[in-house]
Amino acid sequence: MRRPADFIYPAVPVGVLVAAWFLATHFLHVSSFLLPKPELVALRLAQGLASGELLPHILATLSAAIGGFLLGSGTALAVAAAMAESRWVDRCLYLPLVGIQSMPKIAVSPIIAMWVGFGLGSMVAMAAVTCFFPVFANSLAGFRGADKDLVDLYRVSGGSRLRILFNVKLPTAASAILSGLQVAAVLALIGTVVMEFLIASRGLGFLIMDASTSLDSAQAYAAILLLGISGAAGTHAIRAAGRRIVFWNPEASTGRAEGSA
Amino acid sequence: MSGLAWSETSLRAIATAATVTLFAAGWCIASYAFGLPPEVIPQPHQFVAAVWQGWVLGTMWTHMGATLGAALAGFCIGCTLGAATALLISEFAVLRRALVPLLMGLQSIPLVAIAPLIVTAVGFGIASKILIAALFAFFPVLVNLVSALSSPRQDLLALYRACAASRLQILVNVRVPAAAGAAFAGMQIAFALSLIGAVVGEFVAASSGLGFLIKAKVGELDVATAFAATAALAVTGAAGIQFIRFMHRKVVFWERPDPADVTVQSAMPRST
Repeated sequence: MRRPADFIYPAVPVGVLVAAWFLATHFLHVSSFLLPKPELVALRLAQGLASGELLPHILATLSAAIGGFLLGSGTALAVAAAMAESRWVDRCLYLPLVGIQSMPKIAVSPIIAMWVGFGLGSMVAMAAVTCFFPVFANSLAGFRGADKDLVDLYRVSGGSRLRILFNVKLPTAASAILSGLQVAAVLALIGTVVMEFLIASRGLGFLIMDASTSLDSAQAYAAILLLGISGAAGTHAIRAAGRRIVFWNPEASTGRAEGSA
Repeated sequence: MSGLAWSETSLRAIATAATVTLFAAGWCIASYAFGLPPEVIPQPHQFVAAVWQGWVLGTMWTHMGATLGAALAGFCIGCTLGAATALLISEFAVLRRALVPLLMGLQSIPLVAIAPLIVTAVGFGIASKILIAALFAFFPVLVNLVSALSSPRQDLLALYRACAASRLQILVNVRVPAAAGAAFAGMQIAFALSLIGAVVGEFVAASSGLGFLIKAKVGELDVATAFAATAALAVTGAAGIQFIRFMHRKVVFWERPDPADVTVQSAMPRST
C-alpha cells in the first residue's frame, strides 16, 4: 500500500536540494559554470523545448538508445536461450562470455566508432554492446532456474523443446529477465551518450560535450536533466510492463542486476 | 566415478579451448588469407607485437599507471563515502524513508552525462578522473549496503535486544557482519564502474591513460595498439574483480559466494 507519507518523505530531500541549489547560486560565490542558476536551466529547457531546438537531439539519442536496447537485449535473450537449451553451446560460450563481461565495455567505443562509422549506427552498436550483459546474465540464470519437475512433466507428456522453452522456462525466467531489462535501459542510454561524446554531431551527449567546451553550462544541465528523465521513464515503463507481464510475482520488477557498462 | 566418462570440468575446458581456437583461427584466416585491412582489424602478429611493446617493453606503463591510479583512488574514495552514507541511512529511519526512494531514482539516471562538466570544471589532469571514478563507485556500494544493513536476521536482533544490547553493539555485532557479503558484491561492481569512470574521463580530455591511448591510436589508425590497450583494460578489470572475490572469500569466510556466479542480485528495500 502506498500512503501519502511515501510521497512526502522523498519530496523533502528533492525540495531541500533545489532550495540549496537556488541559495548557493544566488548568495554564495559558486562558479556559474559549475552550477548555473536553477531558473536559468529551467528557462533554457523550456525555450529549447518550445522552439523545437532540442527535439532533434532528444530524438537522436532516444532512437539510438531504443534501437540498441532492442538489438542488444534480443541478442542476449537468444544467446541465453541457446545456452539453456544446449549443454554444448553452454560449455563453449560460458567462460568466454564471463571473461568478456569483466572488461569495461565502454573502452571499445572508439574501435566500434571506427568500424561502424560516424553515424547513428555507432550509437546503436555501442548501446547494444552495453545492454547485452545484464540481460544475458539474468535470463541465463532465470532459464536455468526452471522447475525440473515441471520440465519433466512436459517431457513425459510429449511436449516439444520449443513448447517447454515458451511454456515453462520463459515464464520462470520472466522476472529475472525484466530486472535485467531495467538495468539495460539505463545502460543503453549510457552507451549512446558515451558514443555521442566521442563522435556525434547531434544528440544529448553531443549537447553536453558542446556545452562543456563552450562553457554554456545551462545547456549542459538541461541536457543532463532530459537524460535523467529519459532514464527514469525507461526504467518505469519496464517496471510497469513487468507488473503486468509477471502479474503473479509483484516483487519481480524491483530486483536489480549488475550494472557495469 | 568411472575413468571412462569425461568430467564436466574437463568437457568445459575443452569446449572453451575450442571456442577460443576457432576464434583465433577465424581471425588469422580473415587477416592473412582474405586480406582484411589492418586498419580495421589488426593482423594477429601486429596485435602480439603491440602487446609486447606496450605491456613488456613498457611503452604503455605510464598510461596503465594513470588509469589504474585514478580508478583505484576513485574506488577508495567512492567506497568509503558510500559505506559511510549507507551506515547513516540505515541507522536513522527518517533518512531511510527520505533518501531510499531518491537513491532508487538516481539509479535510473545515466551518471556519465556529467563527466564532461566535471572535466571542464576540475581540469584535464588526474583529479577529474578520480572524481568521476569516485562518483561511479559510490552508488553500487551505497545501494548494496543500505539494503543489507537494514535487513539483519530478525531472531538475532531480537536476542540482542532482549539482552539489552546497545545500538552500537547491535550495529557492530549484528548488522555489519550481515552486510559484509553485500559490501563485497557492491565493491565488485564499484571497481568495474570506477575503471569505466576513469576511461570515460580520459575520453573527454586527457594527455595520458588507457582511454586517451585508445582514442588517440584509433585516430592514427594504429588499431593494433588500440586493441592492446583495450586488452590491458580487460585484464585489469578481470584481475581487480577476481581480487575482490578472493578477499570476499577470505573476509566473509562464513558465506560461500557462488564462484561461477555472473549475476549480482541485490534488491533495494521497499520503502518501509
